[in-house]
Amino acid sequence: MIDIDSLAQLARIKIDSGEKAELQNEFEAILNYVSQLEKVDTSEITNDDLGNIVDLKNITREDDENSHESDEFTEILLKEVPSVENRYIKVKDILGRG
Amino acid sequence: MNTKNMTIKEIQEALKNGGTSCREIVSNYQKVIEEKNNGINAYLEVFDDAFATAEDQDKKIASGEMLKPLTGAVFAIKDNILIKGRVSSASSKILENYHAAYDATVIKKLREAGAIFLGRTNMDEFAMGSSTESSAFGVTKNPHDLRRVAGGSSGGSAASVAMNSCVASLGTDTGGSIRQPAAFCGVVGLKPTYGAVSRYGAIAMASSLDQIGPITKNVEDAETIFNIIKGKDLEDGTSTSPEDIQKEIPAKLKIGVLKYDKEGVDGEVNKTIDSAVESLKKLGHEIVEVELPLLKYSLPCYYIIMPAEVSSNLARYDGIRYGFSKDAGNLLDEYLESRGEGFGRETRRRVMLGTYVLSAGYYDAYYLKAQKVRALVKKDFQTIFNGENKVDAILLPTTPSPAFKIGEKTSDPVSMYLEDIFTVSSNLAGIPAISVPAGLSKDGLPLSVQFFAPWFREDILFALGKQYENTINS
Repeated sequence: MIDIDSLAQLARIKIDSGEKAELQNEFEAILNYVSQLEKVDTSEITNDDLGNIVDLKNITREDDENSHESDEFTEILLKEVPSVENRYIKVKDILGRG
Repeated sequence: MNTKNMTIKEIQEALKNGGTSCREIVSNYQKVIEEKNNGINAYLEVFDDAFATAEDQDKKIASGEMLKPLTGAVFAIKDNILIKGRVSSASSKILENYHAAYDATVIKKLREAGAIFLGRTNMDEFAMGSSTESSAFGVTKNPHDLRRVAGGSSGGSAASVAMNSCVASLGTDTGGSIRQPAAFCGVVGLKPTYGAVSRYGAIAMASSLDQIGPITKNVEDAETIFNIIKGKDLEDGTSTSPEDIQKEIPAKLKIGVLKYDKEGVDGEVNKTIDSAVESLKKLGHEIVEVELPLLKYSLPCYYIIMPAEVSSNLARYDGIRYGFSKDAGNLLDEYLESRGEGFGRETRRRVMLGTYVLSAGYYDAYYLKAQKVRALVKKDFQTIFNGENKVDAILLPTTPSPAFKIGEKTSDPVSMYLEDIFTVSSNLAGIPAISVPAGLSKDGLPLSVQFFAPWFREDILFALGKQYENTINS
């Protein structure tokens, strides 16, 4: 039995009790479906092989003239922020006030 | 001039010989939108600056400037590809009022090539779905039959081309989201090789699978657009421009027809593949049968990896930095309520599923196992394309059936997921794939075939696609 409440909490998503019951059923069906992967013999694949699936390597660049001007996007990005104070993004208290 | 069914080449020829103007082209397409969009719901927004761009291009033409490769080509853009200053919502309530701060690389490239952007198109929320039924802004209906879905997730983009309201559109494809709607709507859809086209400015769903690609009237237009949008981009570390790929296509190709279980597939779809085999033989190609032993496992594999990446990518929607925000008592409640209300049903389900398969205790059994199966899927394709009995391309269906009815699959997520059975393996392996129209079924619904090619061999898809297209149109 999957603990939907704890999963919703981990995923930071509030769900109501009706959806919770539906998700319970759907998750059982989906997990049952994806569990058929157990039948695939993957012994030839080592953890080292997994790094190469999409042939990725990290690419970095110097913080030089190719980077954008300081402040170039500040206003346009701040316009999208739900709650702003003096060019700061405002958030609710993280630690309770003692 | 009538823009119905016109291709980029035809539009450019008409512009060159003075038969039309960019303004007239935009005006024609807008009339179609006014007439049809209420019924079809392909567009979420029609841009007010398309005329200005068109007039600007007309002035350049009048002053004797050479046409750019896409001058006069009017595009519809999927709602998850950023256009600076425009709303880009991924058809989600959480981004309903989000304005893009920059152009996606593909938009920049199309703009430089002379393209005109007419509007943004409806999609499944965050590209999660196969029918656009998960859009926060209503379903997109199939232009061939309004009772049926246009497919998804790029349903609006496919419908916009099929309803003759633009010459081409851009979509994104994570597990089939360009090819399946293209197949349902009777147009061409290309999913490029992973890394061939920059993803910079595409709202991320599952980053190791997502690719942007064109939806067009014919294969030649898909090729034209692909050649403009492809290439390495400093803003996307996974993009690449391979130079050592041999680009010669023999007149006689060896094509592998995928062996699959015909039981679960619509009879007309099976017949379409059989007659495609005959057509390709007549064209002089060698046909052999190929097997993908892991085909049936590619879908469960995808439905572990994709939600895992979704749960990680969508963590950024927190109600604090941008997007929909629900004011609540404390920070945790603000997250819970902003995301609970801002995300739709399917998105909530996939974020939670991804959270589950990545959580301690289940990671090895689900996520790690799926990554290993993915490595095997890739190996299968390496054997098919590079092994002893190698083939140049694979022929297979795009979808198990033509377009299904609205509401038919919404109550059963697994049956909706099965829509992707013939498309996901190419995303898992990163190979390019194209869906090409194959005429109509007896009910008047579009049929299609799909081709796979080796990594970075889109040229083979275009060559084969054009040849096949000719056999259908003749």
